[in-house]
Amino acid sequence: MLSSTDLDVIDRIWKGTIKISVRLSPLDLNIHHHKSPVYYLTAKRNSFLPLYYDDFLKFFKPYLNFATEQTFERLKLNLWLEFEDIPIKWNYPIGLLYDYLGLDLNAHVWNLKIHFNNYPTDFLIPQIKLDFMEKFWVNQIKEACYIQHSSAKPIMSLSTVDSSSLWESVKAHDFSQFNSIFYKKILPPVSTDLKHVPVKVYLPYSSSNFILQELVEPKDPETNLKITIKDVLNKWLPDLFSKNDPNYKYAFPLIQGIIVPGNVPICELYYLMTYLDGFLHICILMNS
Amino acid sequence: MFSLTRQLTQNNEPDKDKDKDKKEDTRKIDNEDDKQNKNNNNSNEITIQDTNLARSKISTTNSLILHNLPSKQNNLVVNLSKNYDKTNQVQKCLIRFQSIGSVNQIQPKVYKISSNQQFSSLIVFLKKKLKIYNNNQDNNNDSSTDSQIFCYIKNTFAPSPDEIIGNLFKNFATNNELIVCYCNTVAFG
Repeated sequence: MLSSTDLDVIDRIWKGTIKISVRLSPLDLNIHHHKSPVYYLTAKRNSFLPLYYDDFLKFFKPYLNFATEQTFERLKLNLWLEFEDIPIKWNYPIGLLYDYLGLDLNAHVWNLKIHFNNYPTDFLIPQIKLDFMEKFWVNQIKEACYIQHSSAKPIMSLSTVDSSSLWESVKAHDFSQFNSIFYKKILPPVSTDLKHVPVKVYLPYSSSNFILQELVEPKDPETNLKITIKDVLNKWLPDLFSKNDPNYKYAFPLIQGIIVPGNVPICELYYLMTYLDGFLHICILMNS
Repeated sequence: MFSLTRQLTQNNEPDKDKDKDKKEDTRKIDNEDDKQNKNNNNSNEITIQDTNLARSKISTTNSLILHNLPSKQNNLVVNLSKNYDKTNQVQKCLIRFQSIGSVNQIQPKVYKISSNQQFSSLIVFLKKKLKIYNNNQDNNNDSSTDSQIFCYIKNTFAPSPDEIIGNLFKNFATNNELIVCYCNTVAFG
């Protein structure tokens, strides 16, 4: 069960936001306008970009050079965002994307560019039907559930009402609704009862394939001690995280934009800091 | 107008590519070496050829950070990527395909694939095997049921196309094989 302190921490994490500015790509800009208007938004860290697509479209539609020929649906499926020439993966949570691509402590706003043409299929997963975000999210959370229990039964046996209400809670960013299903009906009450903790580790300074994901148990089967985040990082990235080093000498882990102390058990971190897709996404940054 | 803009961006692309880190170039060469090795290999399983779909890009912000890293940290990053690329090139994962519903079972059932490939390359391979072609010229949503294939792991979830096969294998393989079920309609909703 989540204690009131836990709930307070989760509440603060859910309230985490990123200030984003969006400009229209010059290729899509109507010739009557010389400069793209700027759309400013305060996006939730623990959310997904496609949940903001409708807002983007409503704002930019009058400025597009071809909008009249295309339906709202077609425009939405071809929409993509870019940061410094890099197409942004819509399937990653916004907070992870920011930590991974754009973390610049001197900048107050994350500057993105929006496109409605030339969808970069080499980099991004195609957006096939309007419910693409929901479909993707459902499968991610099922994968996470399988890792948690070695079976997807808890999520597969949810009633239709509960399943749709879980997705509604994601869309509306409503923690109490999310809590009533995800924490109470899918996760075991005690974090050490997890079979494995769904964790993904990202190394942003290398190729896009550099994502680590292995099964992590909540407790060490030999010592019966809870496995800490430092233990996991030491095992997966021994060069960057040595066992004896009490501080983060060369690199540090960032979750939801927060540098996490090394001695926190990974299973407890999962309950507090998991993203909406059921994974604890850890971004590794280098000390400079 | 559309085709013109498309051409323009295509023309721009090679310039952008030049800016990318050199890692990718070495990877491509590795892949070619790999293909030659495969021909020499007399194993039973057919190997699925690597696709270079997964291109890497790094943001200017990050490359600036990289540029200014102290030498010790910089060396760590360089070695890390090298080691990772090496170990993953060597490793091959066994994939067993299983059809569900009315789709044909492909023969043989078991294939080998490099663990650094993305799951999307399995889907592409499977589509080719089953002779399913997308109408790419026009994204007509009505015909999508014919041109789609849905892949599932553990009879429960469809992995994200950008997930790395090595990771899926580590997490979900049974008896040293990653079992991928496929269907032409949505199963396990």
